[in-house]
Amino acid sequence: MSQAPVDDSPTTLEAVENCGRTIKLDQADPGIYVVRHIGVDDEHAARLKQFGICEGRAIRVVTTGNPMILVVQNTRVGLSRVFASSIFATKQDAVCEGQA
Amino acid sequence: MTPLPVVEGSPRVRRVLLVGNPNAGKTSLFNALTGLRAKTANYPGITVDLRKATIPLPRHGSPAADPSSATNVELIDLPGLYGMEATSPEEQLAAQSIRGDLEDESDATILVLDATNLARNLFLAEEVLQYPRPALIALTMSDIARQQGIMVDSQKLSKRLQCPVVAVSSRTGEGLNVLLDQLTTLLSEDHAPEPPLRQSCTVGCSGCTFAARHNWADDVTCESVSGGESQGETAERLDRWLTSPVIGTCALVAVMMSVFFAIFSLADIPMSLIEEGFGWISGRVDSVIPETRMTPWAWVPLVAGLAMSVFALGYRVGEVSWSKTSTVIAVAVSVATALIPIDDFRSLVIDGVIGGIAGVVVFLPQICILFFFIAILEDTGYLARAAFVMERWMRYVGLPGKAFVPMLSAHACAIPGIMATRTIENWRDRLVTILVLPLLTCSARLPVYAMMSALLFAGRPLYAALTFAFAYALGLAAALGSAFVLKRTILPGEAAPLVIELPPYRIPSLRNALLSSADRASAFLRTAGSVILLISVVLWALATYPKLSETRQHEIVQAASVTGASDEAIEYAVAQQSLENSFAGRIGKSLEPVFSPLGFDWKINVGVVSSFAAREVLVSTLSVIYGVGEEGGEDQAGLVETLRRQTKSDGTPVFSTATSLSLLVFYVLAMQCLPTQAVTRRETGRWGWAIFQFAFMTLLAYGSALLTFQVLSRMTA
Repeated sequence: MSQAPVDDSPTTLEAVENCGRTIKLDQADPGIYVVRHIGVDDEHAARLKQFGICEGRAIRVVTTGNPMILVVQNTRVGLSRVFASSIFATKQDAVCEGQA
Repeated sequence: MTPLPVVEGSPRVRRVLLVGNPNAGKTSLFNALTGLRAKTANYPGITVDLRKATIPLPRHGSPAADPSSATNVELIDLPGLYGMEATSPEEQLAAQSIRGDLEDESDATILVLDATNLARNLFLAEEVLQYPRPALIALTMSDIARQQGIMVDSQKLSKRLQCPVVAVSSRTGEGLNVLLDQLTTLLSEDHAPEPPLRQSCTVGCSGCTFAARHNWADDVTCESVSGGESQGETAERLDRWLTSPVIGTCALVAVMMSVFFAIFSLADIPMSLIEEGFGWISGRVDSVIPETRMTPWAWVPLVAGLAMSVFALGYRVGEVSWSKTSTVIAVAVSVATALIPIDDFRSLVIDGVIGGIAGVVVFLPQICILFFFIAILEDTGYLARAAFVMERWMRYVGLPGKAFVPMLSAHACAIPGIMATRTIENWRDRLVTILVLPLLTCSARLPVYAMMSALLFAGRPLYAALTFAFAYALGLAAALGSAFVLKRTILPGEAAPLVIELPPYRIPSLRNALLSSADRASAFLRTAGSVILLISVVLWALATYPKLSETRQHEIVQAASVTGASDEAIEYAVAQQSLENSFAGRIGKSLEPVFSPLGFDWKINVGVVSSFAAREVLVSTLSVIYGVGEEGGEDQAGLVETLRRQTKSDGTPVFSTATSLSLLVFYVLAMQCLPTQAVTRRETGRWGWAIFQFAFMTLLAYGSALLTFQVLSRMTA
């Protein structure tokens, strides 16, 4: 399986992973999530963010798998697992303090 | 907003950019505004095709119906993009045009926003409206929005965006006149609006600028849109089936099979009509060309002039400029044409020029039908789901799901397939797709497959059908296998991860589909037409010269007459000997050591050489070289019977099972299509990739045919 170029700067990842309820999107069940961190390189991150998958914004996971389907800003988006595994998100009913 | 450029007395046509997200209804709006006026063109030095059209705008204050009061503007349909951080060549061109980085300056922007999904589209609007160019918003799909209960307050939206907003529907024509009227106002020289306060929402933003833009888009949407909360349920229900791993894949296979069935069944009649039409033209031209040359003073200028006219037409269609080299070639060939003997001239016109044009045009019905269905599938929203489903399978060989549409197109012809790879953003993925596409079975291979399957399994249609299926499967397996190898050797790296919009399911527009297929057909003719015409003429020369001496021709006629052969048989005995004596025949003989391990004799080699530029030529060449007779090219049964009777000096059949399968495998895998090579060069920007493509396919074809022949001949020995 290919890997998207990851932005693994320790401070960012540590902050995200310290929130126990933050998961990688490829592990998410259907539901509404808030994106916390996008760990891919700038070019790929720009692509995701153009679609509305960016920090602090809500997305809905419709189907899981590879690729998976999200609803972002009323648009259905197909997303491969390589990307999903680099996106950290929190389920909307389990937002960590200080990250809302 | 900056003041509008005043072009007093300037003849320059004002340019208007049509900008929007993919799937926002931009092309439908372009088609509705321009109809058949559209043509595809390039910016100088950029290979991305753009659709442009010059349309009349009513002068401000004049009745729209009065054509005398109209002024022309050039409308440019830019490729769709989601934001100014472009990745694919098409998006980069659109972003450059919007930024004003290109030489061709534009005067205004029509920003296309989908009324059914305003928040999504406003993200791009926020960026585009920062550029100092007069802008106008076209709110597309307004009728669908109303059906979904979505109410957009155009006035509030206009106030927030600081530019006019017009609700339109390309399907019903609603609002199109108002849009043109607004455009006239926007472009009028005396119109000098107050500069709007289009300050970016990200100015002073310390966080994510993307999020700030999306938040702004949400904010504007909340303010100007009401209702429509329950939409998306249909898409959810359909996607549950159409994107699932098993049912989605089965549905895709069923859709593909239906498209192919439609292509091959519907194209049959127009293809026959085209062939008959060209046959009729050949007959008419043959009767017009005199038996003997008239006085050189009349003949030479007349023929040279005609030849120059053909060149002028070819250059115009192929968009070749009259440079020093192209002019010298045109003049030299025209003069040479005027000087050749009358019979050679007749053969050049009928076999080289008309035959060459017919060879291209005959595939047009299949290409039109294919692109008609692709446009329909795209309009319905299914094509994005197909790419989504294929992503699971294509990734195993290192290709992205988006390579699916080019691969589907390549099953009609590799040329439109290669042109369709422009939607693949990642260069490496795109290059690998281009390199392997010609391995897929295109229409030009079908006459060869039909001949070989009939040769192998005459009277056994099931086995013949299985041979066909085997050839298709071999081509597909070779394409996927080659992609896998290329991605692990010279073009290493996994396919770029998928992120794709799955647009809402919609009823397709017949008008769009028809315009799209007409556009693709014209692009195909322009790209392939001029190249294949040139190649046909070169191959005609190789197969015609040097000519048999008069004495030798006389000997052949006498020898045939002794056996009581018919005039037709005598004529073909001469044609056979002429071909053997020609450069093509000599090359075929000199290639015997190379191709004999594959089971080919020198006559088959002539077929391989003559079909070097277009593989379907093999059938007609074999019919001539094995002396089938004039009807041999069309009468498959006659050709197959004749080929089956051919024996080697030891009495064994030339077309044994081993040789026939070896030849079939060779034609499944070999390049044998020069126009495709020209398009590969154009799309990759380098001859190096076109040469590499030719080399790897030829080696693959040679190696596989060698293996087939050697194994089978030992098994059947």
